[in-house]
Amino acid sequence: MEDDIILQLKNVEKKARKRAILEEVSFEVRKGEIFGLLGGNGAGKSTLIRILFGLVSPSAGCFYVGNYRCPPCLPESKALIGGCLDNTSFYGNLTGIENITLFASLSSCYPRVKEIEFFASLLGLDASLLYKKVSTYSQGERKKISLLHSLFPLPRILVWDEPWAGLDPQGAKKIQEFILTLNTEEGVTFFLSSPLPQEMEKVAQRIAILHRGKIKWNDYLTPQVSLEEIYWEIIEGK
Amino acid sequence: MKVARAEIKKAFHSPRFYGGILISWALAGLVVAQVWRDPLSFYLRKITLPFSFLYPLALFGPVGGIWGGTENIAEERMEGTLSTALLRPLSRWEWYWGKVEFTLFYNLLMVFTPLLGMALLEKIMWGGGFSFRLLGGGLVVTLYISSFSALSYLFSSLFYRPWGGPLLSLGVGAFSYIIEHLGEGERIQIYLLAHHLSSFNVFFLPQIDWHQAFISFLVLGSYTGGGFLLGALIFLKQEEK
Repeated sequence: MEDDIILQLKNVEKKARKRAILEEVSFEVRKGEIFGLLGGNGAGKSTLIRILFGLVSPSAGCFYVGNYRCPPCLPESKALIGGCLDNTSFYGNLTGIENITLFASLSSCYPRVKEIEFFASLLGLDASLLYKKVSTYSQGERKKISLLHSLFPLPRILVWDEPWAGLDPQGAKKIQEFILTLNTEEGVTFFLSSPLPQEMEKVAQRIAILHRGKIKWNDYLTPQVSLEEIYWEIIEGK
Repeated sequence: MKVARAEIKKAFHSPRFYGGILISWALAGLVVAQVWRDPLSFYLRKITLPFSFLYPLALFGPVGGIWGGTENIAEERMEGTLSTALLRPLSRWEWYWGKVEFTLFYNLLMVFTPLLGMALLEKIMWGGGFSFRLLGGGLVVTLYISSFSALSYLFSSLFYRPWGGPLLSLGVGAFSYIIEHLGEGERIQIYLLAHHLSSFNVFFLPQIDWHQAFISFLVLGSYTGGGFLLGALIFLKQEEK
């Protein structure tokens, strides 16, 4: 594997009850880039992300995280990758900060309160909310807490499944600004997924379009490329 | 140990954690109240306080033991917190055994904190003493409760539905109780869970029956170890969709 590649998928397939969810998915993510996986509902994005975290096993193919071949997803490879699912769940009877420190401790990470509050403010999350029970959170607040929890510890590659789903335009903008800041200042590689091309093109440098389990397009975005046009052409089968 | 430590941290915020311990202490309180009311009969029957406590604990403790398995596997899966934990650099194996460690610790806590409290009370009030018998009896009851925890882990791993684990574990307990009380097939009775409900008795006989104690440890240990291990092997093969 080339040195500047942090994540590489090779012919990853997933079948469930004889139905193909993913078919020969291959692409790579380079260190320091913001990679976007675009696809409609049922395209297979969330399954692919669950495969990357070892929650689901591929039916065929493999992928590399750094130099680690997966599956099996060993703790060493999982230490390089962090993130959140489209519906990351937390313990409702614990506060936001208790959930964050609890899950961070599973990565042997013990963040300071000030550090958590700092990142919360960058994500547009009110610090006082961190001290309220998660069961009282709104959908958008839950989304933000799931993004926040994935930052402790800061992994080499952050995989965020639909990071702006359930957020208002202001909240979505804040998340996009945060992604760009973290990528520029800390060099964190991002793997984002979304069904919305107009949101994705605001942050992603390279995009792969997943449609019905297959990669239909994979290229860098340039001013000459109209992502929305390409996306709709693929979705509508033109 | 990472998972077990996180479990302990989480347990401090859970009313269920305190609930189990409180019920166990309440049972101990009932026994003490009974002795207080009629100390003479206890004295004449030469029964110690901890001994009187172990039977109700062995009778009701399995409910708490089963609860552990349901909460730790089935509920975490249903709520989605299992997937959140597995986003971390943890293997399924490590996560599962961390939960088991905590359950065993909790069972020990549920048995030994009131047991030692009662032994202390007996020492103060009636001049009794701590003995090796207390430890042996307590361990047998802990193992008996843990057998139910192990069954609950096994069935909760096997069935995605949250009620599958507790219902089947209770079912196995009830089935073994019925077979035991049918009074037939004496050769198999020794292998039945219900047969060991009052196995702690052997440590309170004038002469400890070491042979019987060894068999109880072996049978209950096999249920506990076998249940947890089978559950782990099933859990290892599963996916979080």
